[in-house]
Amino acid sequence: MNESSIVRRNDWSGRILFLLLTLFGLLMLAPLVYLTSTAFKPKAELFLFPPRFFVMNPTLLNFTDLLSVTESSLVPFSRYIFNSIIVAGSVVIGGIAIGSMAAYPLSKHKGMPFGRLIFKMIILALMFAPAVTQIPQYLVMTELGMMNTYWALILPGLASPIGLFLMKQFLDQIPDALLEAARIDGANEVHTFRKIIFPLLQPAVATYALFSFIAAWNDSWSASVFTTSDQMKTLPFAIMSISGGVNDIARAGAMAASSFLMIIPTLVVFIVTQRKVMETMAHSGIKG
Amino acid sequence: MKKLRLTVRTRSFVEGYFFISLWIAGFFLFMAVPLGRSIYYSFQELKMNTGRMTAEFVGLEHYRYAFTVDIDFMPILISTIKTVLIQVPLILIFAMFCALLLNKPMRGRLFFRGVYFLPVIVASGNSLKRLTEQGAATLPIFKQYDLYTIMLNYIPEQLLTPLLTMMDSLMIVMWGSGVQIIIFMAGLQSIPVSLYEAAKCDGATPWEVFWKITFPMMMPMILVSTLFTIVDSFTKVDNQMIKYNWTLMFNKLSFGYASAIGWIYFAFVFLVIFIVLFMFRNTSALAQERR
Repeated sequence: MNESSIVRRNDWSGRILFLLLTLFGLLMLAPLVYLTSTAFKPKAELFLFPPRFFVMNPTLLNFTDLLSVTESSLVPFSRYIFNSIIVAGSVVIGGIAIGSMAAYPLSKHKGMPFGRLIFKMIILALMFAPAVTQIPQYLVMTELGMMNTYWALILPGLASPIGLFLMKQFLDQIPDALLEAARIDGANEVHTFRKIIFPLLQPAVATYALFSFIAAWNDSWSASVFTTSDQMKTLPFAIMSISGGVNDIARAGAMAASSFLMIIPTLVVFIVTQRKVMETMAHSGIKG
Repeated sequence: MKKLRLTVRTRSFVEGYFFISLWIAGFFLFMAVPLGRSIYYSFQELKMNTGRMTAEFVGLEHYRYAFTVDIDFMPILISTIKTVLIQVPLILIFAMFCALLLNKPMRGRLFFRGVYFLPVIVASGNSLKRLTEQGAATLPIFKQYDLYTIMLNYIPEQLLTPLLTMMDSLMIVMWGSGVQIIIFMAGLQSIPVSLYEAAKCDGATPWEVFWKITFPMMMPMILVSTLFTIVDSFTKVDNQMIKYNWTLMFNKLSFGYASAIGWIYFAFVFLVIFIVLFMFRNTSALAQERR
């Protein structure tokens, strides 16, 4: 009642506000709309220049194209989907476990030797251009004998500086008194972590889950470098290679359809985690 | 008594290290070791011969080459820094504007908040790259109706060209500001209402309230999102410099030189961040004085 009375009092300014927000909101929705409408465009519309925003004659041809392309691939396509799910799932779950465990002492064990140094290293690691480390990473991987295994695809994504930073900042907001109470009640460290820290960390965990899922799901680079056999490739790499990359004209339709389909899982994860993501962003203010 | 306390302390540290050890191991193996190696490689000439790498020490040759011989490097570096320096303030101003709008009480606020954050999910990484490649990220109006020549009649060229480059990156700016909007909204909500009430009693206009209360109180949030925006736009995939580094690394296979360039680039990013920190140290001190 209170809120509606405010709106009624400044009716015209409220309307202008609403209009501006809608206008910006529409522009914010633009990439999603563009991706969706491109997926339904017939060939003739795909290559229009300047590109048209909305589809004129929607068609499902791109999807049937994609289906026939996937059926002609050497390895059954379900294998790629399976690989992608395994890799993205392990990166998310493992990353959460390792990151939250590391965030706890960094935030709550004050005066730990090298604690500040480790935190500074994290900040520095956030600033590096990823291309710098990629070749040495490949060499480390070959030396460890992990080429063509799931390990090669999963392990580099686990110890993420972003995830640790996010969770550490979030933990800093949680009062120490809570932990002291638990310790007085005789909880050991593992118990404290499992029963108090981890449940309280949920918003940060959700945020990190979202970002690491997006990164792992869309990552075609590690599959192209760390694996050589077709059995081990992941979905984004498979799509890139079977549809001949961005510049292949004949398969452009299949490409558009696949990039639309690829974004659906990330959207689902976003909708599931949305509320908690907003909470964390408010606290720690950083993303991946 | 004293001895007991010490052992409790050390015990807690040991337990702390137990928790952190897995992350440290991963970090060293896949981040610190590769980083260290890339410094080492930047002083080497690396050649791929039948699947094996051979290295030859060349000292600072790569660094000298980058600044004196390579005709692509300096222009790309300068234009990258220029783009980032133009885009960062635009993103911050746009995010502040949106946060102020979204902070007003109204219907569907949660929905709008989700929508404004959506580009962070959809238009990131590869899909953003694809969008810009297809030309969907620039507004075609300016080219279509030849607005440039028309506007040239009214606005001097020195002003118009940077203005249009700004307009051109408008979509990128809007899609890149989701995280900053959330940070600013959190900041706005943390300002105590009593300050605004006091200002209203003293008869301050909304304009004055923004510059005297909201802006100074938001200073820490502004610093955080400035740093975040700088780091984010310097390491984005569609960044020119990153692309150049990528082609050197994977198309021309000159790993040593690419590593050297990566480190020079990092030095510049670090310099920019240092300057920003220095600037903000003065402003936040000023804000504190005023309070």
